[in-house]
Amino acid sequence: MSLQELLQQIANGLVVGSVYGLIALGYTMVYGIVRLINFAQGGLYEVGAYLGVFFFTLMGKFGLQYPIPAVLITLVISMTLTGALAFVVERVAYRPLRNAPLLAPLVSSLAMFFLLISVVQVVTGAEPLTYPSVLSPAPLHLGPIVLSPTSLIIFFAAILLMVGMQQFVRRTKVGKAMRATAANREAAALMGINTTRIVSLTFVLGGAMGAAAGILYGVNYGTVTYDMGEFGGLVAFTAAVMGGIGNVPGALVGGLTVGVLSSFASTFLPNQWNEAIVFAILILILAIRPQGILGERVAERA
Amino acid sequence: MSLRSCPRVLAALSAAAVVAAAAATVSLSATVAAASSPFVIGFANPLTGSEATYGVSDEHAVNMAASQINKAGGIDGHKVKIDACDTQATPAIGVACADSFVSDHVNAVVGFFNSSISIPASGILHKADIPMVSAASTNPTLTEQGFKNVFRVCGTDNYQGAVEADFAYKILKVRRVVALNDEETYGQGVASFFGQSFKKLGGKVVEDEGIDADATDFTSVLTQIKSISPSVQLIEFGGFNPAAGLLIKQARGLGITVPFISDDGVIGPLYYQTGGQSTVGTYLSSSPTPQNLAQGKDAIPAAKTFLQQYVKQFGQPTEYAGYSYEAVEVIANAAKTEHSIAANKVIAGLAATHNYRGTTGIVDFNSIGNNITPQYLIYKVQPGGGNKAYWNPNAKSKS
Repeated sequence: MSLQELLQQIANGLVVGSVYGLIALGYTMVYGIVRLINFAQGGLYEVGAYLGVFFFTLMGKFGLQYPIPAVLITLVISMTLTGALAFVVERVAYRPLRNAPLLAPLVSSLAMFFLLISVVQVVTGAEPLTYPSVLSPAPLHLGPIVLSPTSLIIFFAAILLMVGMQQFVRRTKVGKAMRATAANREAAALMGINTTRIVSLTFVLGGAMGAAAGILYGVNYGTVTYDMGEFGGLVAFTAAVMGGIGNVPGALVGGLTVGVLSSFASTFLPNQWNEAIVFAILILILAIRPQGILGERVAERA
Repeated sequence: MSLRSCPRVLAALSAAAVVAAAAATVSLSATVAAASSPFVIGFANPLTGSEATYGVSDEHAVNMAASQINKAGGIDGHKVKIDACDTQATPAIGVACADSFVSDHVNAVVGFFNSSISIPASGILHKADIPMVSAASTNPTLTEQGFKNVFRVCGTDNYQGAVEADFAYKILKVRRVVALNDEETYGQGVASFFGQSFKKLGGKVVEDEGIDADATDFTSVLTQIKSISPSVQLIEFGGFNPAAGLLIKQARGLGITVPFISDDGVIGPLYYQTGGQSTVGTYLSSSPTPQNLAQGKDAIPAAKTFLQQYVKQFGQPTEYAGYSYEAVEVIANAAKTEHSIAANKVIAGLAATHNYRGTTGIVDFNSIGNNITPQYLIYKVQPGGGNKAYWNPNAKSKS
């Protein structure tokens, strides 16, 4: 493999990986707070992508042609709506089972995942939907690397959102409450933190991040399918575990790692081996570091 | 394209009323001469449901053929009568059509539209020894079952790959290609026939790979293709959308500018929607429409006449209408040359059909009943997403 190909594969992997990282953020935040793998995240990601198509197309009809404001408005609306949906998911599928054995909310989150995907399929049909193309497909040459302008924007947008979330958890008062709830829910409640509200907020933020990932994905590839949540959800879950579940920067690191690994995997072996290789490396990493790449620093878990 | 692919795709229609088919039966009784018994051709197509546009257009064509044969005196005095049956593009209902043809003792069958119906129905007609000519089912299996009563005037999926290879080698003059497929029966078939034919012509298939159609990111495979040295001159893809559109879009995004060719499973609006501007100038192989066959310097005279008459009565025909018309003509021709309407004679006549000049070109049945004249054209995607017929393999080989 030439140096040029090596750099190109890394760039490809980083672009895909940034989207995985954004979805993984939802898994990892919820896990940090309530110790639950919220499988509905894959569904929220998909719903966000579909809401994105809807509003994006709508804005085109009202004559808003400028790509960047249109993407931003779409992002805000769809993230809000998907966040609201995540709030409902928490109320319906998690809160009633708060004191049930751990497996119960896990299964009900799986149920929510399938429900969301089925609803999308029923509403839109099984045919793929397409995002209006916003930017010229003319490739950009960055030294030896060639990338489409869209994928470059996707990458930076995803990183920006993840860093923003990290700063939110670390620096704001609400973020502090989230960290407190993650560290010890009873103690946090005793300190006057409304932990129920914090749990809700975590679901909402996670869902919103999933929606953002869905839209960025849609804008980049131009096509969304009713089963995209299965593949995306699974890969992002892997990314969250690889990075260290419960750890916010871990989601980013995990996402990028999985992206680059699968990009390399298909260089050396036929494309179909992609997932097998990613999971083999996941097992390897977990064997050496059971807590994932960044581990879980209890104090910062959120 | 969802309909062109209908031979491969089962329409999920509810199996409601077979009875409706009876109402659709076309009665020519008013014009039947008193003298001899009619020559009944069973015609089975989707006449209701999502694929009805095609089925109804084919029905018009079949009726047109029958009335023209009758105007010219029928088959040795036997008037042709069409016995239509609605398959609703549903295998269970289509197979019931085949059963009803057997109990009606039809002389021959034109159909079925969907390969998924043609294949099981051909078994029933084989047992009853009824000649069957399909106008639209392109799945290779149909004629590979060893049934000597089964023929088709349309092309086969695997032949499509060969036409693509011909085009790549002889017209684009490329020698080093990559063949990708989506790992499904249809796509893999087209791509592997493309590869085999291309090698036979003397070209080199540098890489032959399956891609996971569920994954939407193909940049790493494409990056690899890009770094092959000396460079690849063409990328072929066997499969469907949205994979094809995504593939070409990402290829162009990575700065890969070589020609791209894909197939019948791809042609259609979704390709341009997913691939956008990147699809412009790419090539697609697909069977010709009646309009294509009647156009340009390679126009087929019979296709021109057919199109004129059809348009006058019914508006624009859909893709397989010309084939449906031709199927009736080929059957009538077989009975005429054998001077008999007995099933075994008609089958013998069909098997002996060579160099028959019809509405879609030359019909030449081989030993298993396939029309060996390639029934595919190469189209080029135009700005705005339209497809323009670009190359006709038959026109070249004749000259």
